[in-house]
Amino acid sequence: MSKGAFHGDPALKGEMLARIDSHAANGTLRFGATAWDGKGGSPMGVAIRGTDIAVYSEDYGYPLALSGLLDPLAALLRDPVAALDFTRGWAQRVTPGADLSAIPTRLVLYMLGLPEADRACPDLHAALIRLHERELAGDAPPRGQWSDLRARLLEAAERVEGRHGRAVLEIYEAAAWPACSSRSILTSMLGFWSNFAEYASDPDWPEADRQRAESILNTLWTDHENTDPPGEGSLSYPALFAATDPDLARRFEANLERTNRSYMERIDAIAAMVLNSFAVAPMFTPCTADE
Amino acid sequence: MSKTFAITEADFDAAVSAGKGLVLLDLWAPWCAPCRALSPVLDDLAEDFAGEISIGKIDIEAETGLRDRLEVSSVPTLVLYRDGQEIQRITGTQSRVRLSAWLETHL
Repeated sequence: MSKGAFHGDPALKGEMLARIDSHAANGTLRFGATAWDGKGGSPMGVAIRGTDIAVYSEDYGYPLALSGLLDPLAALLRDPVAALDFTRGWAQRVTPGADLSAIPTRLVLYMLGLPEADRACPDLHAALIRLHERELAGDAPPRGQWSDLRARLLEAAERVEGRHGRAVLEIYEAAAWPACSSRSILTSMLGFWSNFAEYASDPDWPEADRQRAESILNTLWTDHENTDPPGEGSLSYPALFAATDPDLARRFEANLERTNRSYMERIDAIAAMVLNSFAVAPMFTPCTADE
Repeated sequence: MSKTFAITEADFDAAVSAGKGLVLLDLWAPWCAPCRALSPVLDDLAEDFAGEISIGKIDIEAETGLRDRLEVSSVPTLVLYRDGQEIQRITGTQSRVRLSAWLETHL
């Protein structure tokens, strides 16, 4: 029987924080894939001294979908100081006994609210949001309604044209499951949602320019792949690109910089939203019938 | 809760070759980021298809004999067996929606 986060026990929260701090101090806390080697590992790895998401969820009372998000999101923050702050905040911001069960669905809805997310297939976007909102309201849709929506998504994928539309549908596909019982929904969505920075429309980088840049780079690669010894790194493709079409190369670099910045902003935003959601989560209230 | 299970060379024949019904193998490597992304999806699929499909995972870095025996050249590779016989394989990451649809066609 759940009693909310940390099963309502402040000692469990203290245990998680102590493990994180101890491994951080020893240099055995590593940000990357979920790992535990007996001496150190990822944030989840050091907390449970193992790698099973379900064990983490059971031991500390975090929803399954959220549990799977900890290591990937900390790793995506890149800056080790920010990653450690996030990892500590992941425990520190949660009140023992808090009800975190609605947070996965709220995160899904937040990511589905991405600007441009409804352009490819507005009807499917609206249907997805309706199902998740019903989950949030405690009116869980029957399994068949999720299956029907997934079938419609697969049909739409056959019709949709262009990189943008396909990228949007990937987000929809990842989101087409009830968030309360899924291990993968948030990690899958996070990947497609953050990568969407690459596909979002950029008025300073029209599709024709992108296609021309891709064509030039492919040609340069084909022309030089046999003349550049593996591992030597003697050729600079950006320099070759700039020599071929300086104006396009300059705008390519500028678009790349904007895209990378947008990508990191998305990661920072979702990390902030997770921690803020923890801080305002209501306390778990058991059903009267369970008492 | 249904789970995926690790398969080694020692138990491959019992778990897969001599197995009955559908078995999906995930051949992965510790250094492979797409494999890590696929892993929770397969855990979800193990739950979705509990009682219909068993899902095993093989670390090809640790199980080099199985890697060679199954002729795996890239990861992640998913290999589907029915009654001990390989019936289909796919490489690369796929969404849970697509993998579900693919598995449904083999039930």
